[in-house]
Amino acid sequence: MKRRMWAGILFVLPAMVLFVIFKFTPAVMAIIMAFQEYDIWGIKWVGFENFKEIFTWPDFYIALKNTALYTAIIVPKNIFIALILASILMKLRPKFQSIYRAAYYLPTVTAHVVIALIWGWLLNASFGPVNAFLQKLGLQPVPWLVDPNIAMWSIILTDLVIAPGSGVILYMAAMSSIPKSYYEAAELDGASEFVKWWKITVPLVRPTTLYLAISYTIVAMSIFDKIYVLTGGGPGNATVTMVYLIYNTAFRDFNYGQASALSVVFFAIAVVISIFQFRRLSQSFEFGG
Amino acid sequence: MKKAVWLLIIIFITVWAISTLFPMYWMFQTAFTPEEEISTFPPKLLPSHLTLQNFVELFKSSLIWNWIINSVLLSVGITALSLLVCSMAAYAFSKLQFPGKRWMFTAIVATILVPAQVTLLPTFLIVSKMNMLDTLWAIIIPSIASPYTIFMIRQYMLSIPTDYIDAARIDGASEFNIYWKIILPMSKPVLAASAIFTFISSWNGFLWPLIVLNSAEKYPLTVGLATLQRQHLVQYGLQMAGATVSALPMIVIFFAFQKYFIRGLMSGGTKG
Repeated sequence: MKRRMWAGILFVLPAMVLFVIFKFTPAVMAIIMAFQEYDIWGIKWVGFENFKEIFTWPDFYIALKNTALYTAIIVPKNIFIALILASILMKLRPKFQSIYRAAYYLPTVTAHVVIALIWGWLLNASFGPVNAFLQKLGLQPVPWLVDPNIAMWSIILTDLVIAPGSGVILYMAAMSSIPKSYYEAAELDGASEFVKWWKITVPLVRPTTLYLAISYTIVAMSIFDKIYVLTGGGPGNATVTMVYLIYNTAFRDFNYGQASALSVVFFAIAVVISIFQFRRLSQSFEFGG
Repeated sequence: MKKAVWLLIIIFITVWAISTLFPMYWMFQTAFTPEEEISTFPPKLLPSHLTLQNFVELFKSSLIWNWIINSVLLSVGITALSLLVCSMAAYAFSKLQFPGKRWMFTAIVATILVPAQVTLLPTFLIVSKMNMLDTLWAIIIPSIASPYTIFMIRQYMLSIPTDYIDAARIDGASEFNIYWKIILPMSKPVLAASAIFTFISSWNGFLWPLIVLNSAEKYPLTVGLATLQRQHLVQYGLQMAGATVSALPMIVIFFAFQKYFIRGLMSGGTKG
């Protein structure tokens, strides 16, 4: 028995040591540093000074607005489109299912940097293919990434037209575990395809909807790679997002205290949204099982 | 259902497939198009002839060999070490009893809720204290312990009957041999899925390598490509050739291991 206890401790030890150094300690440090002025000159306690500075900083509100806009558009689109596409694919033959599923999932295995490089080329204002296509249709070319009023919308657009691959796969998995008898019972009552979908499928995949809502939100709020490659936060600071601002504050301006305060605010927002989504979507879970 | 409705539905799912794949197609198209033909107006859906000129130029004028090697080293290193460390922890959490087991597992899973971006700066300071900045270790070591991987492997190991372990113990097998010779071979499917996910996410990682590396010859492909873009702003043939070098191995892995992918996604999603 004793041997087994020691074995357990030894088996978790490497992982635990790494977690303490690279996950737990940084999390605690992030909070402490948010209340410090921490720069090349040294460290001193400043209370809520960093937070006060953030909340009077125009860039913070630009970043907040851009991140909120991007998240508020991309997350519902991803969930809705994944639900629709998965529902349709479930009706296809397995061979077609796997072809479409692979098509939707393919960009997910490609680096964000790569996808962003491609969009930088597609949306090039003077000779990019998208503008060339618009001109061929007799339309005006659009200054996609160079006009500060349009740039953020262009970035949103690049994600809007991509199918949510992981969402489609997860919804399909959830749908295939719904018992056929539910649908048969509904058919006996004369329910239409739409009624069956709305009253049986949608409520029963709600746990997946919850999982996707939370994970897509965290990913969307953390948008960085695309901004870095496509606009570098510009033109001016028109496309800075929360993580981009954290990056700039910490690694360009070396203002560690303020960067930590930004991280804490960012985390607090993510937690509040997750709790809210959990409350909204976990109702009637007992029915979903 | 009526034929017309079905036709509309097929068009709908196909349009989504095309718009999802079009950027990838355009990457390949540009990468193999002669540079002088890339900016012709209107752009052609297919190049007049395929060329490797952009790749030749890329391999001549950039450090891409270094970047490829670094990406491979990183991804292989992280995947191997992470699988070892996480599967050991997962084995302990699923099959062994020891003090503190519950709260340790809870604490590990709780870190899933803290986005890596939140702890970016403190982790950077720790790595810098350990004198790892500007080395590949700065990327490998902090990525080894992954809460997702531990969680995923543990869920799988919970379903392995304990009888096997008890029988081995009676035969006098050591705890390490039980893990190495019985549990690991039985966990192959989940190990394969975790390996693929870890490999791909290490290959595609960008923000962390960007922060901890300074010298261009130490960059992985992602960071290298971003600097390439800043140096050759409108040389899209070159950029797309670089993008292809990064994307192609992942696409091959995806098609080769599709079934593990889907299984892995599902075990993470439906149980998480």
